[in-house]
Amino acid sequence: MAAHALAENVSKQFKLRRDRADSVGHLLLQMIPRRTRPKPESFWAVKDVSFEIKQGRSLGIVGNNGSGKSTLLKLLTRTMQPTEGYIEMSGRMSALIELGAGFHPDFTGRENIVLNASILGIRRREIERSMDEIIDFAEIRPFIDVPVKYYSSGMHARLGFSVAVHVQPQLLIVDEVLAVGDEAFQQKCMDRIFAMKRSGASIILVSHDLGSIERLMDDALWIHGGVVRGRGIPRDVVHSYRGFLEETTARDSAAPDVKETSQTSFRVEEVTVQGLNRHEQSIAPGDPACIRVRLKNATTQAIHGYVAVSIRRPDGLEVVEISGLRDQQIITLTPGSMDVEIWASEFHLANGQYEIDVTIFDDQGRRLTNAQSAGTFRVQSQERTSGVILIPHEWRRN
Amino acid sequence: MASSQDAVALETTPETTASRIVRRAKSLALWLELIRNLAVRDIEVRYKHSLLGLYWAIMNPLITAGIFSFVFGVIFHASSGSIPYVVFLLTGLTFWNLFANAIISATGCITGNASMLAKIYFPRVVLPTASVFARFIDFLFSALVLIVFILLYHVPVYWTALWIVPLLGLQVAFTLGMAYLFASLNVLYRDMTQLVGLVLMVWMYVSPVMYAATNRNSTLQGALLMNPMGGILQAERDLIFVGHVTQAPFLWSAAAWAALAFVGGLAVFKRLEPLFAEVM
Repeated sequence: MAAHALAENVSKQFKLRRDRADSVGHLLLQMIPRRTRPKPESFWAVKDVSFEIKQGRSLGIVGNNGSGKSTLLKLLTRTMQPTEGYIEMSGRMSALIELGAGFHPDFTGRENIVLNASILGIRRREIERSMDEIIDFAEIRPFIDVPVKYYSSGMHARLGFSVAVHVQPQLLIVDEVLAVGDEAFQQKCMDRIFAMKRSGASIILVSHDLGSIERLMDDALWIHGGVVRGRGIPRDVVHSYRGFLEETTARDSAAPDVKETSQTSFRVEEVTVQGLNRHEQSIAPGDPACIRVRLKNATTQAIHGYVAVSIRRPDGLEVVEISGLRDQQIITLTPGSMDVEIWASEFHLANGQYEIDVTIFDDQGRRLTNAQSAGTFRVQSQERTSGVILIPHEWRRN
Repeated sequence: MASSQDAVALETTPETTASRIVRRAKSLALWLELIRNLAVRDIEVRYKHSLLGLYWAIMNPLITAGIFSFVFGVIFHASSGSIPYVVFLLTGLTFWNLFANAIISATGCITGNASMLAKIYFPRVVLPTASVFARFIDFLFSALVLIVFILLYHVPVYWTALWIVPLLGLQVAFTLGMAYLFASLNVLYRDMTQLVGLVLMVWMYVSPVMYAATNRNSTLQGALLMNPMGGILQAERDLIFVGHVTQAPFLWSAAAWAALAFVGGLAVFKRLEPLFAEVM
């Protein structure tokens, strides 16, 4: 099948020309010959990036701020031209980058829909057919004939999103625009995006929400300093990116005001989960269970702190977090090893493998250490269960 | 039946000339509609908040014609031949304003839409084109005022006035070329707006807007009419009030200028277009 989007060795160079003439007067001044003219510094915002997205596939892009993600998006949306390499796209593209960019404040919602669609390359006749659908999706029916300048920012973004997804794009480029709107609308947006994916559209998602990249994307790309640092299955890419982030945070938190290096001073030595059957690391759904965390304080003084435990599925989906910080369960970490136990009377998880992350905070809520996948356990039963949790229930017939 | 199978097979091979032409035509139609929508938006924004709708399009040339005809007609006794000076002046101003206003609004159109440009791709050339067409719609309204004045003063008009239509095509082509040039340069040099205002003012005084280019010594007349706007304005006035083009050679030179400006302006615009997103 033909590729929907193809980027081959794409690079973008910016020149930091501090002396670039930006006015006519400046230009005239520059025409006076001078012997020394500072050479423009340049840097590569994106260097040698290649990827391919086939029809109906999705790609998540992660990376720090300033890593070149936005430049890459600009290249993809063709608002910028690559310095080297080429980008090829087929089909209609719609970008959810800045929702409602190009809306005119003095125009009503309805007028802006037509105008925005025509910028996206849709004829008036075509957009008028899906007008009702757009208005209903954005949930702004009562305000559709009011100038957009009176809209709240949420309404503005909802309308922008609605137009962008109703132009039937074959490639959808999503930047972190979904941080707008309330949770219900965000969910609706995600549902809509994935409905489009099921009907054959390809998706590029740029996000700092690593969890959703891990769960929702088919492939992932990690960009750092303009170059591809990792690619492949989202779980692996996000894992290595997380590892990188922790390293840098650890390096940064080694600042003088933090006593010693907390990473080595406080450790999570072991995490065990015990159910009824005494068989370690395996419980049955609905059983009481105990999570036992063995902590080590390698320093010589006792400190006060909190422990938080989060249970994840191996694909990254966080199932539950039990936080001592939230429950205000302060503990004293005496020098040496100590156990913290969390007792749950009923553990209603569905069958499967789970991982446990443990984080230790000091009494100010600063993170001392974080142990990813510090322990694993299984939930096993004879019955077949699906989903993530089980809900105790009974049937009634009236 | 074999032919339909051929067509299926062709789909996987590089597109044929015919299909490319169809695709090009389709996208051209799309961009033409965008130009129309943007021009309409421009007009609506301009007049939405004014009480009398389009009245600025009519008031502006009226006031200018009033003050200029006082200064030049009454104080300086400018001669305008057989037709009243007010009508003579209003004719010149109506056509000149089409050019000048179009250039002014096109110059700022790329920088004024920076937020849209950074996010969505579409051929940037659509924007100055839409600006020019929006001012053309303004022009149609001020042309109505001109017609009213011609009727009020009982000025005889010739049938050749219909030739104004192709001549306007020429003027718009020249205007578009200049609009592309200034719009793209304004992205790089933000004070281009100031310069354009200055250039247009000087340009208006060296064009036969407020005076007739004819009846001068031949060198001066030639110089005034070699100016493309001079040749066009002269021809437009001649077609309405004289009945034939009196200075035909200069009309040809204006046509050459228009072609040059259009091609050159578009070339500069296309050349600078990739820089827009980076500079803004």
